[in-house]
Amino acid sequence: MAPLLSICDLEVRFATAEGEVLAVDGVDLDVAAGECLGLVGESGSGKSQLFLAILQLLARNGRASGSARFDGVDLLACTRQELNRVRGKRIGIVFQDPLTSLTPHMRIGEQIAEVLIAHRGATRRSARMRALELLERVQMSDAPRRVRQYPHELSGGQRQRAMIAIALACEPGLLIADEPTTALDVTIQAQLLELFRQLKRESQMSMVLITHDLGVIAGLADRVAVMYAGRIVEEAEASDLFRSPCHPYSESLLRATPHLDAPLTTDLVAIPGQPPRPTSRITGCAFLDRCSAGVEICARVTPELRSGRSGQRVVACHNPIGKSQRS
Amino acid sequence: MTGIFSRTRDTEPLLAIRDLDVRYAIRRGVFGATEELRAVTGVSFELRAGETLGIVGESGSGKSTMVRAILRLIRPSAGRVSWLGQSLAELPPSQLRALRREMQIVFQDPLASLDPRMTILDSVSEPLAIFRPELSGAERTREVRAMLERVGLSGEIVNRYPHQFSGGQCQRIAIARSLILKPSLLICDEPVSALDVSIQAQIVNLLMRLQREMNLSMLFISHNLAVVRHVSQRVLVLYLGRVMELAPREELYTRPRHPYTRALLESIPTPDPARERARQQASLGGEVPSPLTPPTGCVFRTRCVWTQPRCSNQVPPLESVSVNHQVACVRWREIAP
Repeated sequence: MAPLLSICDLEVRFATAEGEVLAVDGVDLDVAAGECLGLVGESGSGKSQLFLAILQLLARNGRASGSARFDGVDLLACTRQELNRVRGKRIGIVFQDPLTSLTPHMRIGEQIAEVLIAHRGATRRSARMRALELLERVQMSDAPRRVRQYPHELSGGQRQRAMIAIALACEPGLLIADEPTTALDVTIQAQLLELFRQLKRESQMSMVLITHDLGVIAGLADRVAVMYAGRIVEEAEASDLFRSPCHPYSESLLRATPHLDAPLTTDLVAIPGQPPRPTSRITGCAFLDRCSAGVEICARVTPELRSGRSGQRVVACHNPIGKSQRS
Repeated sequence: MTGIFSRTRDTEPLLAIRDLDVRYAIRRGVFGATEELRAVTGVSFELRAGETLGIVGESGSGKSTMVRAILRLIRPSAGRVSWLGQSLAELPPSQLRALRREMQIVFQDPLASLDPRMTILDSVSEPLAIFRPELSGAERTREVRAMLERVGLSGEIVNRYPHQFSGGQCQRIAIARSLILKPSLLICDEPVSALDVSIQAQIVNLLMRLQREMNLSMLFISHNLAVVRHVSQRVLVLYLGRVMELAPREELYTRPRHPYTRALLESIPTPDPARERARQQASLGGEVPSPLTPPTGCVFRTRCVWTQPRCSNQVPPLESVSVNHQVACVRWREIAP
C-alpha cells in the first residue's frame, strides 16, 4: 500500500545575511496510514522546517525543493488554493505555542467553528454544536464555558487542547504536532500525552510528533526518525531504536537524556562540542566532530542512509554500532 | 573578608529562610479593587555551606519569586532571610551591598542575560569593576580569561559578542560572570531548561565540578526532576507557593511521601517504549488553581486523589518523617505505598 505521505529528496534553503543556510538536506521520509512517526532532533536539526516546508509555511526567505506526495498529490507543486483544501482539513497542525497560534480576539468556540464553516460548509449553528463536541473529545474541563472564552482566559494546557480540537475539526488523515507539550508543565504534559495515546487508539489518523524529547514519543511513536544537521541519520521501529540505537548520535542522545533510574555516581553523559553552525558547509559526516566512533572515511564521504541490522532500520553512518569493523 | 561574612561559625547554616511570605497586590482594571496574590507562603529551609538544595515545582509554584526574595531583588512581605545567622533585613545598606558579591544568580535564558552590545570581556568583568575597583584593566582581563578557561571556554574570546556564541556557550559565559567574584552561594534558576539535551549535560557537569572546586552552596531551581536528582543533596518541592515536601535526595526519589511529589515523579516520560505504553491514566488531573483564589486548607487538595473533607479545614503542618525529611500532608502515614 502506498504511504499516506511520501517525502522525497526534500531540501530547504534559507537566504540569510550570513549566506545560504541548508536547513534540510535531501530528506526522504514516509508516513503510512494509521502510523505514528516520531521525528526527533535538537534545535537547528531541521525537524520543524521539514514539515513547515511541505505545508508551504516557510518564512519568506525559505525555498523548498523535492516532492511531498500526500495521498497522491504533490504538496510542493500545489497552488495556494489547492493547498488550502488540504491544510487544516486533511492535515491538522498543532504547534508548540498555542497562544501565538490562536487568534487572540476570537472566542475558542468560534475559532473551531470557523474551520468547519470554511472547510466543510457547515452552518453556524451546527458548527457551534460540533465545536462543543470537539472540546469534549479533547477532554477540555468545563467545555460549555470554554467555548465562550478567549485564549488569554485559558491556561497553557487548555489552550493546547483547544489547538488540538481545531486540528481535529475536519477529521484529518494526518495530524502534525510540533513540540506540542514542550511549553507545558510535566503533569499537564502527562495529561496531553495520554490524550494523544487515546486519539491514536480510537482513530485511524496518522500522526507525526516532532520533538527534542525522546521520552515524549516513547509511548506513542511506532517508528522514530532521528535528525541531525538537516539529515535523517537513523530511522527505525521505536522499540528497536530505544533498545539498541545504531547511529552514534542516536545513542548519545539517549544516554544524555537524564532519567530517574540513572546511576548517580558519575557525571551525566554529555555529547562534547556543539552542533555545526547552519551556515557552515560540511564535507563528510556532520556529526564527526562530536563522535567517538569516527573512522578515516567519515571526513571525506557523507554517509548515505542504508539498511541497518534489521530490515526495518536505516542508518547513515560509516561505522554504525553493532557492525564488526567498529573499533 | 572578616566579620559577619566570614565562614568561621561552622555551626551556622550559610542561609536560613524562616516563614518567608511574598505577596503581590494586583489591581483589576483602573478602578478595580486590589487583590492579593500570595506567591510564596510560609517557606522555611536552611542551606549549609557546600550543599546543593534542589527546588522543584511547576509554573506558579513560586520558586523563582522565592529566590528573588532571598536575593532581595523583590521585598519579602514577611519572614526572615539570614546569612550566617544575620538577618538581611536588619543589615545596613552598605553591608547588604557588600554581601551581594557572595550571592550570585544564573538565569534560564543565557542570551537574554548578556547585554548584546557588550563584549564578553565587558560583561564578565562588570562585577569586578563594581566590587573590586582597585584592579587595573590588565588585572581584570587576566581574571576574566582565567575564569573563561575555568568554565571550558578559550580566554581568547574576550573581544567577541554574545551573538557569536551558541546557547550553551552563552550559558558558560553567564556562569563565568556569576562566579568571577568567587561567591559562596550560586542560585541557578532553570539554568539548563533552554538548552538542547546534548548541551544540557555539559552544563550540569560543569556546575557540579565548579561547585566542588569552589565549595559553592547552590540553590538549583528546575522543573526537570531528573536533572535536580543528579545535582542536589536535598530537594524542596513547592506547590502554589507552599512547601509540600523537603527531603534528602535518595528519600525523595525512592520514598516520596507527598501525593504531589509522587504524581510529579510519575508524570515524567521515560525513554522506554514498553513502560510508556503500559501507562494508564495521567497521574494528576486538573490544573494548578489560581494563586488569587487558592484552595482553603491544603492547597493541593483539589488535585489530590487522597483528599478527604478534613483536608479543606486546615493547612497541613510540615511533619517530620525522619530527621531530615518533612512532608505537609495529614495523611502521609496512611497513604504510604
